[in-house]
Amino acid sequence: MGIRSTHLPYDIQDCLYALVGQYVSATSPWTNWQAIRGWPESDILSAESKNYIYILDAQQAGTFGHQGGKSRNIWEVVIGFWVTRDKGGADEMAIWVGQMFDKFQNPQEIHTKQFTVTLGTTTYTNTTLTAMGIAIRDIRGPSSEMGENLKEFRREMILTLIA
Amino acid sequence: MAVTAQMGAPEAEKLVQGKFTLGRFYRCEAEAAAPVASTNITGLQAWEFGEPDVDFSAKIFQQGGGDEHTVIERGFRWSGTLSFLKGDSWDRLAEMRGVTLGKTNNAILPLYKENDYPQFIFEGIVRQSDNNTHLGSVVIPDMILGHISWDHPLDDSLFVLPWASKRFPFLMTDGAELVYDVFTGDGSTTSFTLSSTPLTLSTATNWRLMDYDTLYYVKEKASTASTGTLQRTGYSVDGVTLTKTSAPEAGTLVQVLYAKAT
Repeated sequence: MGIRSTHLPYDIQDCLYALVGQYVSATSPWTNWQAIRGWPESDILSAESKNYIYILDAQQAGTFGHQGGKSRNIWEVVIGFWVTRDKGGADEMAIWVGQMFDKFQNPQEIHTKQFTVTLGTTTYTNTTLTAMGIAIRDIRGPSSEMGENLKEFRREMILTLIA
Repeated sequence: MAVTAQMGAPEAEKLVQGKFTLGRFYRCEAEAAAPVASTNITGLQAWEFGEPDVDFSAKIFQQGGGDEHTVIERGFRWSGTLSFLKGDSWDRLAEMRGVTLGKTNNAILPLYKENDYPQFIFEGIVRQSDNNTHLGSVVIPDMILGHISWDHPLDDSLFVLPWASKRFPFLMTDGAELVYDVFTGDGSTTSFTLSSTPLTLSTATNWRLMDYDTLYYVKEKASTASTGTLQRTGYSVDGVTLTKTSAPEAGTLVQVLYAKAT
């Protein structure tokens, strides 16, 4: 297990960022998009040529434990998509939502997809979510988020995972 | 270990969910094949069984022993249910009964229990949430379908299939899977080549319901018989060679259930 118990919310975010980064670097139609870590401000979108997938930090949603020991956490992670009308608008959004379900509702695909991530000073090369100690359980959404501009659209999906 | 010892958090993969489990079965009365192909069960929602009923149970005391006693039990019968999405009822029941439901020759499926013969062997393959890492399996051999009831509420509902088995269910280690080989005797052949090398299941002499270390069971079904008969002795296994001291009669099916490494 690679994620650190002292940095769980951010290590989970880093792993998912690296995983999505792997898709946007090589897998169509993900190559039309760009991944960023954290909440994007509008000046970032206007300065780049691609629409964004943003990965927020993990929020604890529950625990499960056993007698005589520590508990493990259930986490929720928001992954959003931010698109402008001139870069595909609602149609592009629908494609992204479909792709998210296709990937994250495919346990074998999402847990064996290899990526490289650095947590602290340790780099894990060609690792997987399973190897890092992350188990995806569910995905739901999308919810609609207010954009900062009428010509922008944001939708967010929520991943449920155990780590 | 100190009484103040604290364990770490449970591993994520220990939280098992049925949606990551693959259910499949083998027809007991399959035609000769080595191996018999399994059928993945689609639409499966849940499966369960309880402790067995016993036909005979007695407490054995001895004079001078006070209340200390031994309980002996004979004639086990496990029972439980398989639950499916309602819309899968027709296809699943047909699969398990080994027929193709259709207008040409099997337009109906009776919902009563036809007989008490084993119909299929169930293998529940429990995996981590990656659907890829095997945690272990639960095997229920020789399931006998029971009388089937039906409900049809206004909202979503399940098709609940009752079953029973006279053979003991068991847990199986990760990295192992069932193999069901069926051979046809010709009256002279005494050796049969198994499709895989059997794993050692246990030391049979330690378990009164087991007869062989490497075979869960071997049965013979004569060409005129309705079901196979357990062969508690007479067979041996060396590598992939199954040998019987005397050749099964011509037309007799030799049904062998064992496990192999995945």
